[in-house]
Amino acid sequence: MGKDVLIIGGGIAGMEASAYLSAMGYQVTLVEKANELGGHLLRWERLFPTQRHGKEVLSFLHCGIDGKIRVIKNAEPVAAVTRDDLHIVTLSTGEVITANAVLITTGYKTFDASRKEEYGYGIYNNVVTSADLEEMFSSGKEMLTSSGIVPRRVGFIHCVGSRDEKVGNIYCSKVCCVTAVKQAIELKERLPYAEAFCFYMDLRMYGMHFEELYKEAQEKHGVQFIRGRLSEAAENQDHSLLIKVEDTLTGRPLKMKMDLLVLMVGFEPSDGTQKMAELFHLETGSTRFLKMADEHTSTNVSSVQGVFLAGTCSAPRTITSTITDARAAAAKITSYLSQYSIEQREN
Amino acid sequence: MNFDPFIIPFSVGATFLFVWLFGKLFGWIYTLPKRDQKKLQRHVFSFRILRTFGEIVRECLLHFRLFRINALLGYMHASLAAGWFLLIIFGTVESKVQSGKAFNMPYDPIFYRFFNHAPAHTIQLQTLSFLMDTFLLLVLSAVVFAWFKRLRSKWFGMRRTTRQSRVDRVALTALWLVFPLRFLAESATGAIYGNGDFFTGILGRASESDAVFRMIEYPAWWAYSISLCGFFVLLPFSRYMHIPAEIILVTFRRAGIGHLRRFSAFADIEVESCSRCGVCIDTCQLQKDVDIREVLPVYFLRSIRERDTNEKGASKCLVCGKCAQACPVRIDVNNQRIVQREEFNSNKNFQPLHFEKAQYSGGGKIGYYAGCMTHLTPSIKLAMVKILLAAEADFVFLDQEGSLCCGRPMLLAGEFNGAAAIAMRNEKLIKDCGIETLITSCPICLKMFSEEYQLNIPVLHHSQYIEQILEENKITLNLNRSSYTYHDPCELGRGLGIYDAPRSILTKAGKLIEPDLVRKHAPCCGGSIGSVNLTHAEKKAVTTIAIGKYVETHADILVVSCPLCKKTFVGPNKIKVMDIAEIVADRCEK
Repeated sequence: MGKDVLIIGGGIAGMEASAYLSAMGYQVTLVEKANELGGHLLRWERLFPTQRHGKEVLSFLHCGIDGKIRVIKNAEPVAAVTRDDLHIVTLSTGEVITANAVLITTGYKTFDASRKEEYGYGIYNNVVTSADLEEMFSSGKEMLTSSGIVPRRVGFIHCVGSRDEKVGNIYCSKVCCVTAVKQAIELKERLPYAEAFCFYMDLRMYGMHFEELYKEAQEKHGVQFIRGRLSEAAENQDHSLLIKVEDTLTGRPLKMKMDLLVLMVGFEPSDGTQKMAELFHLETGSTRFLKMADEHTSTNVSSVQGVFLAGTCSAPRTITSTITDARAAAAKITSYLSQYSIEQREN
Repeated sequence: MNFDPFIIPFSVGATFLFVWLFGKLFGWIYTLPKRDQKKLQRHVFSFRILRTFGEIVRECLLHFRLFRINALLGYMHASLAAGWFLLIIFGTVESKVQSGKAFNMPYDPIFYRFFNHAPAHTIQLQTLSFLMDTFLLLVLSAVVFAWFKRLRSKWFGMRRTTRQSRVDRVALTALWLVFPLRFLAESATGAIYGNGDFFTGILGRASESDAVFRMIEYPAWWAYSISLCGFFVLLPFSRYMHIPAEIILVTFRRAGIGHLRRFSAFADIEVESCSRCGVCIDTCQLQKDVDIREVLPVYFLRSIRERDTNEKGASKCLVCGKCAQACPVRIDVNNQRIVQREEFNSNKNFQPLHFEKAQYSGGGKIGYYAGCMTHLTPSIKLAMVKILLAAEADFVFLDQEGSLCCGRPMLLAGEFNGAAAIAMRNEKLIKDCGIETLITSCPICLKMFSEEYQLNIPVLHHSQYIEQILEENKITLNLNRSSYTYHDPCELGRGLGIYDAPRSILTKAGKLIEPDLVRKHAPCCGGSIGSVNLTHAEKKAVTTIAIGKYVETHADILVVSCPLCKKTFVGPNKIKVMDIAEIVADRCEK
């Protein structure tokens, strides 16, 4: 066969799609702008719903590609042209790569929580994001607030930058609800005497075992769930936080003191994803994620021929779903490059 | 007595118009609250009425404000209004001088040339005749311009013009016909009897035989009378009602009469004073950016007049006030809007909950009031606290624990009862703190405190306070190389006229680069609480276009002085957005 596939973005989707495509006999080049493969997985200590370590999944992904494909790190595409079904892509290193198919796996970035200024991220020291908390967990250090005390009350704020028209993100980021449940459990495991509160709009426990985890959080760990969106946070003299929330089940406004506030930041298309959209002239949907040719039948197909999508560049996804999507993209690319007759189907 | 049947249409029309107008005026005065009736009485019988006359001449006849918008537009309106007015005045004088009587028939000046065939024989009559022709020429030039404006509105400073209703178009046609027909009739008579002056004599001098003129003379005078009648009868039902209404509006306004919290006589006069000139159309961001036309004052006021308001027109508006500042009649469109909003409220007797919980802290000369919006942008309130500490002010953070709303959002939504209840409670809470000066970071609160509260202490926006302490050298700024561009918030700028304080601070802090539209022409950020039901997508479209103008200045930072503007502008932009208090706090040295 000997056809070339260029994969842009060495995160979960990029790694898994590379593994499958190289196993199927294609010459795969994987371009990653950082100096390490793994993307966001590098930052997640443990994964829902099983609490297994992120590292384990990462080493599984590495096994599929190490020594089998060409990986170019610290590089990103800067120009792309199409000539006779060939994509000619220039990298920031100056190298020019010619490929029969391109797979975009540039993924997401977490929402910049300082845009919700009323939550105090970047202003008050004890307001962190879910990603920051994950780093606190994985650092292995003792959990302390900025004033050096062990937090007694920790609030998890759901839907920060998701389902929020005011910041322009109307979609659900899918993973934050269950991440909050997972992180609350982890917190309780580390600090059994701390109180954990989750402030949610509604809990979307759609995945297999998610509901079990939610039940476990309540029954085993005593995590409290309050339905209501945070309205604002203010800092007290002792650097603890005073938060105002409405409990929408009782219909009453609440003022609560928290030692630590965790903002469950949602997904936005990463800078790389936005850049690839420009470079390859890919259509984006109203949510600014890359547009799939068909929401049911052509989820890995972009608006440009020979350019495919996998992972969170096209929608928020869990790790499980990202891996599945990467394999689907590999199958789709194979079908396209082999000119199978099923390619003639209309959407 | 001069008489001919063709004066009948004119007389009928004029009588109808006068009866109608006096009825209308009586109705307006009758429905005024007693307090306002007294104000009007005192005004009319005082020397201040002379200034009112002055304004009427300047605005209703000479149209100074229109001249300022565009010279052609000003000339067109001024020559029509003033020209016609002078025709009436000098026509009356001419007919009286000629007849030698102080009283003659009211229609005599209108059809003067028909009844007086003798050429002007005295120097007075010759002068008057010359002036009358001059004024007719002036008015006709206005009509020519008006036709031309239909074709090339851009030459008159207007990108878009009003879509007129049917009755307006018929009235317009009648008006446009009046003066050409008068010219025709006078020229015909002038040709036959040789009594035309330099202008109305043109046709007579140009032609040898007067047979044609004998044929058209009489029908022309009939047509002239009928067109006048048509115009007079349609006037009360068309936009031309603005001619008498504006005179009354100016008088009422000068007497100190204003809007009430319901649709009042004053509001009705304003509505009737709208000439539908369409100057407001180009200023409206909702029209330009998201194509919502119902909100345009010209159509919105028409819908009020036709008792046919729609919710979209009443509620979508940002209440930014750009249209009002452009309005040559100075109609208070914002108040018109919120009065109409009351009608669309489902919950007229709303009573706020959780009143008892708000508590403010006292114990300082200066009270700092952040306001709800500033609590949502905490970097602004932290910056203000830092500045107040640096200035060693004897201050207290009134609403540190959270504020009761000032009531303005409800007021703007037309929920007057709820707004009044909140304002009363908040006013008491503030007064109980015993402060001597109130400073707020929120222009929305500031507007409310200044206009609806009786606090009896100075109320300042934080930019005004910072300007003050900078002048008093209580703090100094270390100048740096940053360049700033400044956005005038609606409530602070157009709403309260505070334009200079923020600019004076910024020039002390770095380089100020102004965008194209500043001060009263500055755009709304799009986040206004003035709009009751603009969708997020519509707001975003307005915001994106507004911020684009600031990005074009290539300044490092877009400075705002309103927490709501900040909140609206912050996002994935190409320019950093900060409040003026943050700039000062970052830079201040004691």
